[in-house]
Amino acid sequence: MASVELADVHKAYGATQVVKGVSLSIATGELVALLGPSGCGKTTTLRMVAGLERVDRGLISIDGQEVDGPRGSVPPERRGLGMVFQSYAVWPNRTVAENVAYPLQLKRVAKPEIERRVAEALGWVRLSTLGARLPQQLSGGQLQRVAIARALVANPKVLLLDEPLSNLDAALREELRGEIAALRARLGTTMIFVTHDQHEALALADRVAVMNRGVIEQIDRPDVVYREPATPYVATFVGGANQLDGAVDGGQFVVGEVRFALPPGTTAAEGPATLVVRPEDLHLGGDGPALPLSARLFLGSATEYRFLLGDRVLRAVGPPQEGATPSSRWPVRLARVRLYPRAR
Amino acid sequence: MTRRWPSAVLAGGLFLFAGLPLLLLLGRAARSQEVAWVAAWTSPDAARALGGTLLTSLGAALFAFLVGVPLALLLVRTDLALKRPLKATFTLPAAIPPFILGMGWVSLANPKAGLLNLALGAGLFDIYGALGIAFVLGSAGLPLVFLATTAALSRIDSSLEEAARISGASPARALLTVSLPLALPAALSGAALTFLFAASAFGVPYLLGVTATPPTPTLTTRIYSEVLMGAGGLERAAVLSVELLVLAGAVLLLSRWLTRKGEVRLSSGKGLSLRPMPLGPWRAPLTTLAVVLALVLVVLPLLAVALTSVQPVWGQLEGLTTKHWGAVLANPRTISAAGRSVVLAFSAALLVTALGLAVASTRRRWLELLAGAPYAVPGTVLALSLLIAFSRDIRFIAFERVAFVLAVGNTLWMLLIAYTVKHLAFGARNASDALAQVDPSLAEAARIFGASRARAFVDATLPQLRGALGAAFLITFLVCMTELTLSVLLIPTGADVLGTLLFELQSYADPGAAAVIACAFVLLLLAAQATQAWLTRKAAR
Repeated sequence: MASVELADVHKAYGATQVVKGVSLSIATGELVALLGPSGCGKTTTLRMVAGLERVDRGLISIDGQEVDGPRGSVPPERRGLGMVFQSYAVWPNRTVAENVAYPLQLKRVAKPEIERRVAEALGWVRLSTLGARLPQQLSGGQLQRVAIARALVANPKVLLLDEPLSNLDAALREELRGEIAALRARLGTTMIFVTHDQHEALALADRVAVMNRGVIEQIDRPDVVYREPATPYVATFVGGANQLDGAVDGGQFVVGEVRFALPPGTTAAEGPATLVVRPEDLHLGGDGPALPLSARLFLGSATEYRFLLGDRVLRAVGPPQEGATPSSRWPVRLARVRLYPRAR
Repeated sequence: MTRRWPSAVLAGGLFLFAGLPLLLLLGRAARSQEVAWVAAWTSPDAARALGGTLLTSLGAALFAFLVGVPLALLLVRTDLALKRPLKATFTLPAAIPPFILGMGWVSLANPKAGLLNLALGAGLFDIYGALGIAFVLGSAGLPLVFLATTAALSRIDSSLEEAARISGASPARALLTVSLPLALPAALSGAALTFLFAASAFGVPYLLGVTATPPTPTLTTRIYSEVLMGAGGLERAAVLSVELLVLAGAVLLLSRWLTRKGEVRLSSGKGLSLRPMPLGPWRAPLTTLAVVLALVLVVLPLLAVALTSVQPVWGQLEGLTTKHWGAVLANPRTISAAGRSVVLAFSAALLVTALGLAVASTRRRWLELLAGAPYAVPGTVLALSLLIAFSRDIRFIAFERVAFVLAVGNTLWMLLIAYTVKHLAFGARNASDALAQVDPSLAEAARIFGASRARAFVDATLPQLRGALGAAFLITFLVCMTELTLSVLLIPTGADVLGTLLFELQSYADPGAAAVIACAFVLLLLAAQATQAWLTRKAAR
């Protein structure tokens, strides 16, 4: 177990800047999720921690020891990490037990000790009976469990997980998510977890780092990221939100001709701003401006209404509203918003 | 929806020209006097022939494996310099008849007159004998191992090696404990194919084995000399052929099994390319080694052939002359042989392409397998079976009613049949692979808009097969132009094709003249390769 420190890390492939100054410090035993869309640099960041990519600029240290930086880099095999790959990367020519034993063999652990620890690791992921199987005989979820056991068997300083659940179907994903959480509670290993799935990040992580175009836009506890997104991008990516560019004018938010009343207690400087409102905070009815309703979608526990505002679509999710049918006009009200000032 | 009769007609034709002759060969071997069987197993000559085949083929496979696998690792997975030219050079022997490499080595390492021996001191090298045959066939079969291993290595998912690195393995260790074992079935399958190729080879063992001291017979050269002996010889040749067939069949099955095993292991691979492993201080020495190997194995023998074609006296280093070129090119015998070769190769290529397309169009897997089977039969065995089936003597005994239609014994038709049957695999495989790629909805759309079945095939499907069919035509044409094994056994008396002329000149009379024909072959093959590469590049653009 160890802490991890990234300081102003940069990485480019050719002319494309993939990671543009990421700084992040992860405490011992902490689980941090790197969350973002594909191409945001999250996987590259993880691979730099692993040592599979070199940093162009900046420093990475593990447990206070510099592993990559201007003074050179420690190759991946000497960083003492574990990693779970998106494609599982379970060696197809080795049995499950041989896969899990490999890191211990490289450490020249004695044979009886290897056997004991392999059995223990397979127990963690509930594969005790499948040690003699070949990977071709396993399902995707089982392969991912093998990968997890293999990554944990040698007591890694840090466990890195690259989209570990994205190749699995929804039910298995739920199940494995729970198992990762349980393993972590049991072993207390420091973990860095890359995902594009906000639910996964919010459910598992101690802190979530939301990445966009090579930088971290916000790093905070999941509930803070959700409730107090630092930027419109974070608000939109995490939880989903309507985003409106307009201006604050005398306690009202003005988009084109339409004026919304800001909810009481909102403090906002006058002037151009971006307003973010989550669908569940956009309520139908009240004394707000009436907008044309373009569609109504039944979601089960709630109903989604889509309103047109100029060329934008506003989504509201709430209890079904009698009489709110497409092509009618309905008043909407902002129940809770976040405002981000924009440069004039 | 496919109709039955085309498959039946094609299967019938295949049976008549490949299946039946092989059955007759087996029958001949079975009915042959006990003496022949006993002799085939107990006579020292026959035992030596089997031993010679096993020794040279194992040697060739081992050589190709030991050289091909490290080369593939270096060229795919490291930062070796000059990768592209090296890969092209090591792949080249696949296109060149092995006999020509053998000729080059005769010029280089004949114990008395070889250029290397003249340059470095007489008697240093001797290319004759089992080791020489294994070496030449091994370097000719090198692409089989090299290409199979290269393909397997580049299909391995990069995260498999990365996972080993994270687990604590050094780059070299990750390569050797993860990627190499995964590519091994493909490499072994390539080595098995090299064994098959070497066991079926006739030209090289003849060139380097028959005149060796002591002679090194193999099954193929032994079959040839038994056939030349006539009547009783055919019996013994048939028995030897059965031995060779059984050996070839067993090795082919082994290779298939290895390939399938390899496929299973690679199937999860995404084929992401890994960053090449830096060789550090080893880069320069290893590059040098690879270049030297390419020069010695491929370039040197070809240069020796070229040099032989302009040497005034074989085995002497002085002087240059164009007399061989002039004599060969002006010789009416060469010209008529070239004419026959062109006509035969062109017709065979046309037949192979058309019949291959017909076979593939039936979409019947068993028919495709059947059409591909003769390619795996060693050339000497195939030729012998055709001789037995269609030579005058046998014909009347075997099937009286069809015989008069097929009076092909001792005519060039025999060669056309042999060329076509042997290489039908090229046409069938290319057409079937291409058909599998074609989107059937294109032809279906044509049908909807009113085209007949045939019209839809011609308008919508055929244009998409053009590239594959052209490639099948070209490769068949080239292989038949330079074909040696079938030609030597089936050529009618008094006529030559280029292959038999080359064989005769090299074996008995005039190495200088033979070298001219060999040079012409190599130039033709290189020109064809360059043209094809250019066409591919143009199509890709």
